Amino acid sequence: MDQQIAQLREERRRKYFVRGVAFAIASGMCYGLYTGFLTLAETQDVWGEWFAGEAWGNGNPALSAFSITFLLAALAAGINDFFSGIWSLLACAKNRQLGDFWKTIKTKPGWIMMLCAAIGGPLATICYVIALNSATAAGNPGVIVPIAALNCAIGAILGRVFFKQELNAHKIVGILICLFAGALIGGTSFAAMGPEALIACLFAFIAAFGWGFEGCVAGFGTILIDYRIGIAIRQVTSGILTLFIVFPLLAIIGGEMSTAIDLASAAFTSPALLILVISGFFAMPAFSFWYKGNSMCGAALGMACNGMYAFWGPFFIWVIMGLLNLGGVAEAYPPLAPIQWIGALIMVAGIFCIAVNPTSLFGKRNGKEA
Amino acid sequence: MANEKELIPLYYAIIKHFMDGTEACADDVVSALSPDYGDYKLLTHKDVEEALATAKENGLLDESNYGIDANDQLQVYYKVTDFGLDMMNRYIGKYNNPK
Repeated sequence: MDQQIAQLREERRRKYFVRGVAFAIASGMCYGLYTGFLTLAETQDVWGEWFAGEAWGNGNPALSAFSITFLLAALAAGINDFFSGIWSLLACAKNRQLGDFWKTIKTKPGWIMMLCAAIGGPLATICYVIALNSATAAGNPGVIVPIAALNCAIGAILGRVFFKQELNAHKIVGILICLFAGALIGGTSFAAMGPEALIACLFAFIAAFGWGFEGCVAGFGTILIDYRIGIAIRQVTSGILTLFIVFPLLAIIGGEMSTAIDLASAAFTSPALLILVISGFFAMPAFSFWYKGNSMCGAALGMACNGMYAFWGPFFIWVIMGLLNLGGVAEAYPPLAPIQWIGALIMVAGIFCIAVNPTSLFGKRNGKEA
Repeated sequence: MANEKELIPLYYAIIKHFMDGTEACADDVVSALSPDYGDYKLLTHKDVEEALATAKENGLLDESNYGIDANDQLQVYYKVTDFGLDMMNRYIGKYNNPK
């Protein structure tokens, strides 16, 4: 009996481990695909004209720098999250969870989730899109993804500051590796592409901060919610806030209210909207596979596998835009320089170090390997 | 609080099942909740097992014992942790199903 249990437990552990790692890796890939399709959408139709700073549509004047940097970022992020929210609600509907979704919103963990979404959603996602856009303008959008991936390191630091979570040696080593890789990628980008790359990296860093904060606070509220419902709450809140509050607010700040209305109606009638429906679709499993993976192979390893998006992000931008040339502007999307790919891989190693204690994984001797 | 017989979300009910210190496996939870949640699509052995494994990864529950069911499948028993009890009391303690 005991022997049979031991055998079944070992089988279960192995099965969960393999499936969990697969889900966590798939989540990182979905994250890369979401970023890739978002980038693609922003080269198509009116979006392409807007970013090129040309007259657009039927002779509308070119956009101001403010509109291009902030309004378009908020619009793209808002539409993406909004569709992602609809996809997650559909997923809930399929599981007949809409009743629970509505009930959860009215409870304390639901409020915490919405509060976190407000920080990680509008703020971080808009900064992420600004970063993506400035990096595209500077000639290479992939570089900012690993910088944004620093949220893992920032989350660990914030967890230490706010919640007195333990920060073991392997986490500190991991954070240092991440920072080093970030500097490596950002530094080479700056040298190769000029000051726009610096702006891109700066905004990517703010995004990383927002997501790090979200992750560290959300962890406290969300563990009490079914993850599918949690994701739906997060994406719906973020989409609605970004699209209907932050976007108009930015327009008022910039004194561009009428432009904003034109932009929104053009964006919603543009064929490029379909691509944002796709990017929103991939944003959903980017989160839900991560949770599912965590429950099977352990949160630490799950986080590490998910962190491979530091690599998948630039990879899929290059595949979709450069290799497959879906946007028709392949020459603007060269692969990253070797040193930047190396940086992205070092980042993955760093995230791995934060998440998993290497000594427990490889035995005591070669713990320092990273 | 709310109206006549509004059930709390299924996930709350699953983890709150452990609040009084009960030791239970996925099948126990399914049978305990099926009178109220019988028509829920996610009240299956597989989905509840996933919910419990997630709760364990999040530190709410701990594996406490193991058994083998009639079909020679492994049964994992869970118990609430101090952290889990504290979290549940603090955030979802006041949400209960009508008796």
